[in-house]
Amino acid sequence: MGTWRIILCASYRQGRFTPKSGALDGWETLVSTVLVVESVRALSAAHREILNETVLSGRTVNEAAEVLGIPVETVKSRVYLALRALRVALEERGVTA
Amino acid sequence: MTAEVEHSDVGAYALGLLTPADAKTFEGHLASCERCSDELAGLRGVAGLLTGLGAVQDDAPAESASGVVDLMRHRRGLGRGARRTRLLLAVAAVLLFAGGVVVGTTQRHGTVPADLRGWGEIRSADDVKSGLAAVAALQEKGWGTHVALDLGHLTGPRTCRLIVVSTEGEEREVTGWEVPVRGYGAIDSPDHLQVHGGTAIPLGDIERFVLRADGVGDLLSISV
Repeated sequence: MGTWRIILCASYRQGRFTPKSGALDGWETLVSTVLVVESVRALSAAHREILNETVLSGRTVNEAAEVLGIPVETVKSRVYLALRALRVALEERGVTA
Repeated sequence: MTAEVEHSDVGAYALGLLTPADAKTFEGHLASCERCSDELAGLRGVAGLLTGLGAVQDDAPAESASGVVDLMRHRRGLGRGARRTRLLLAVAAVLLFAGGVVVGTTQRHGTVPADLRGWGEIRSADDVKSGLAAVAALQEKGWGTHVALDLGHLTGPRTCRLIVVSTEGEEREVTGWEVPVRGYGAIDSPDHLQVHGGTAIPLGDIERFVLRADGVGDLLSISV
C-alpha cells in the first residue's frame, strides 16, 4: 500500500471525508471519484458490465435487458450483487458510504 | 411490468433503475419488508457515489473507447499508472496541508463477505498460524440474537460447533457443521462456509463466540 493511499484511507476512516450520498464538492469529489472508479475496476467483469450497462450509462434495468438480450430479472439480480460487491470494494479502500 | 417483487430488486430501486410502475410496486413491498429497508439504507450511499459517473472500463492497457470517464485521462503525456500516482500524490499533499490528517492510524480491517451484509453488527477474528478467518454478523432479535458466520481457511475433515459465551460465563451451542476433507476457503475449494444460527442470549449479554472442533478444542474466539 503506497503512502498516498494510506493517507487517503486514513482520512476516510477518520470520517473526515466520508461521502454523503450525492452531494460532494471540491477535493472530496475528486478523491471520492478516484476511489469509486478504482473500486468499479476492481469488480469482476460481469459486475462491472452490468453497472456500465445500467446506472453508468443511464439505462433502466428494462432498457439494459433489451440491449443485453437477457431477462430483466437477471439484470436486476446482477445489479444488486454488483452493488453489494462494490460496497465491499469501496470499504477495502476506506470509503464507507 | 414485473409480475413479482424480489428482494434483490432493492439494488435497482436504490439506483433508480426501475420503471415508475415497478418502483411503485417495490415501494409497496418495502413498507412491509424489514430486510429490504435495512438493505436499502446501506445501498443508498453506494448508489449516490455512482451518480454522474460515466462507464468505467477495465484497466486494460489498450486505449479505451469513447464515453469512458477517467480522471487521469487529462494528462495524456503520462502512462496511466504514473498519471494516477501523480494525481493521488497531489491530492494527498493537499489533504496533509489542508487539515492535519493523521497518518498511521489505519487498521487493516478484513473484507466483510457480501453475504453477511445486512445481517447486523460485524465482528471478526482470525488465527495467524492456521489462517482460519471468521466474520460474524450479529443482530438483536425479540427472541435473542441472530448469528451469521462466514469462515475461510477452514481445513477438514472435522466436526465443528459455534459456542456462545455469555458475560456470566455460560456456554451454549449456537450451531454445528461438518467440514469435508477439502475444507472451506481453500485454494481448490474457494467457497467459504456460511452458517446461520441463533441464541436466546441477548446481544448485550454476549461476551464472545468460540469456534470449537470436536476432539481438537477451541480453534478461534470471536470477541463481541
